[in-house]
Amino acid sequence: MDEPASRTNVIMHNLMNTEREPLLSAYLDGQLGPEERRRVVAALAADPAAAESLRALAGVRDLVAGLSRPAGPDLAPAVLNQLNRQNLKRRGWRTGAMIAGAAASLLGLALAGERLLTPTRPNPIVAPPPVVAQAPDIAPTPPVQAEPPAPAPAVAIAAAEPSGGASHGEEPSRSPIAMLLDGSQTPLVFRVSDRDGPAARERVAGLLGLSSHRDFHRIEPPPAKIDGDGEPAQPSAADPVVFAATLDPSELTTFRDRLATAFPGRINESDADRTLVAGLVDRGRVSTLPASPAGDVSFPQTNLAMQFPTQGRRNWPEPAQDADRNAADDAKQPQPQPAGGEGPRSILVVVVATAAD
Amino acid sequence: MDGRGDHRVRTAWNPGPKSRLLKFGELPRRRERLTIAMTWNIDDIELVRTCRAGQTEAYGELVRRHQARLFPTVLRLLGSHEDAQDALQDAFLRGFEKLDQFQGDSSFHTWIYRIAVNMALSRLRARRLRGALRLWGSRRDQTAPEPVDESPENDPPRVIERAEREAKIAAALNALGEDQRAVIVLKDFDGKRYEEIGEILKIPVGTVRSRLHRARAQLRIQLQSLLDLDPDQGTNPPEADVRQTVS
Repeated sequence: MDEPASRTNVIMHNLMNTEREPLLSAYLDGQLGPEERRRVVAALAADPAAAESLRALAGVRDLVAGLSRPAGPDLAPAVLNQLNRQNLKRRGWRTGAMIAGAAASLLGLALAGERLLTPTRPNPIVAPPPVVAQAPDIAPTPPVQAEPPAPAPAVAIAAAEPSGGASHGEEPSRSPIAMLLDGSQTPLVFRVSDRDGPAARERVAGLLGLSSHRDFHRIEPPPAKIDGDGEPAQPSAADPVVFAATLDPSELTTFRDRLATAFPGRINESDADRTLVAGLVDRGRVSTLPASPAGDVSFPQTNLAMQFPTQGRRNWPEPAQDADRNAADDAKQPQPQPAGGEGPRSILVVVVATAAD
Repeated sequence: MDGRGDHRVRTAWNPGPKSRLLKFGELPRRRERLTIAMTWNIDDIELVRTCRAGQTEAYGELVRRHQARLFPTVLRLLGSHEDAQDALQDAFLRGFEKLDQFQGDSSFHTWIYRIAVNMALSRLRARRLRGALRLWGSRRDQTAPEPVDESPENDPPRVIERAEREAKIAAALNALGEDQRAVIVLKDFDGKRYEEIGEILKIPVGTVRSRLHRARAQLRIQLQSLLDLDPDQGTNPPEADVRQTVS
């Protein structure tokens, strides 16, 4: 037999095996139609290897079927206990709601009665005064703050859409979550080994907020347990927390440097596993955090001599050469891109509690 | 017993300081008779009706009837007693919340079984996701699942031998992905049909077939030492042959 024919035979044999094995498994379970069953019976009669495979698969089936079946503890007392607690809670809410409803009804009746007893009073609803946000007169007016107010904490849960940098006058950009899943580029993962508990997470969130001009997300993996009130258990300090953000190339460089400075020797950078990202986004609890960039700096458009820092920076943009552009033209120009500039990149920062890394 | 009747004589649904099990030949007290009458031979559907009527205690009886059959399945899915206990408890609580949706088309056991399997799988996925996140980006993420200990034993006592053998099978099951594990536990451990498995896991029958084969093929590699040790394993005939013989 010549060599190509032999190779073809081997390939055909492997192919037959590949197709045959699932058939053997289904044959074992009695899940084949008459035609497939005939094929398997013929193969078993002709090929000892097929018979051996069937025996092994049946052996696996018997091993799994023969596992012990411990009865487990009696869960009825615990289940009833929780149901009673939940009932009490619901009853408490219902009582509270009924009391509030009764109070509101009484108040309404009292007001209606008062109006009926004073027939000639002018209607104050005809011209409502404009609503003015004003500090109450009782307290002294605070001095005007030069600094912007502190950013709000987590602003939305689950379905929240971030502002996406709209405050900077850009076109609305896609959320980091959407970018994580769009498949055009693999997200970058920074793994931070956390030995400081919640402080490390807050620090990472702070660094992201400082480095990005877009809102970003905090994703908590799904809770594995349900607490005593039937609600998902609160995450513990040992649970990893993930931050998702979309960073421009320059922001990414800045963030990478800041992260390395804040957590020396505790950062690993790699590409993300897409399956894991999908699972995380699909099942995790997402909250949106606002960006709080350190500041927007405008340089006067004159012949300004500037020295750009080079230490610790990568891909720093070259200074603009044309000094004659006026401010209006400059505003229309695209932002300077670093060397090898690309579009924004989605990143994930995984903060993982470790005793020692 | 398929959950249609209970042969125990308990004086209250909710075992507490006032409940007790009757001794052989002992007559119940007057107050206990009503509870016993309601529990004795009362079927699951009736207990569900009682629960819906506001008597939460009747649900305790449903839990008692079905927990022993559900626990092993949940245990094999999750691989840990503690997790299985928590998951099954959550499943019963979820079942109570959804009791209004129980139509009685299938048995209560089938209905709560689905809830328990899905709760266990949900917990398993959450656990795996957390575990994967911990390793993400680290150099340890390339580590394979823990190998099954295959060190030879020198004539161990039978109990220990069985425990070790069971531990190996359980470890091999735990090393499977959750999809494959779910299918093989439901098929080979619980004896469900492909169609039932597809319905519970919401996947086509063809997917059940392929996942089951992949799971068995992987277990075959992991458990080769056990298969070699016991030549009797695998001598049970295929189900099709059994059915033919019976018919």
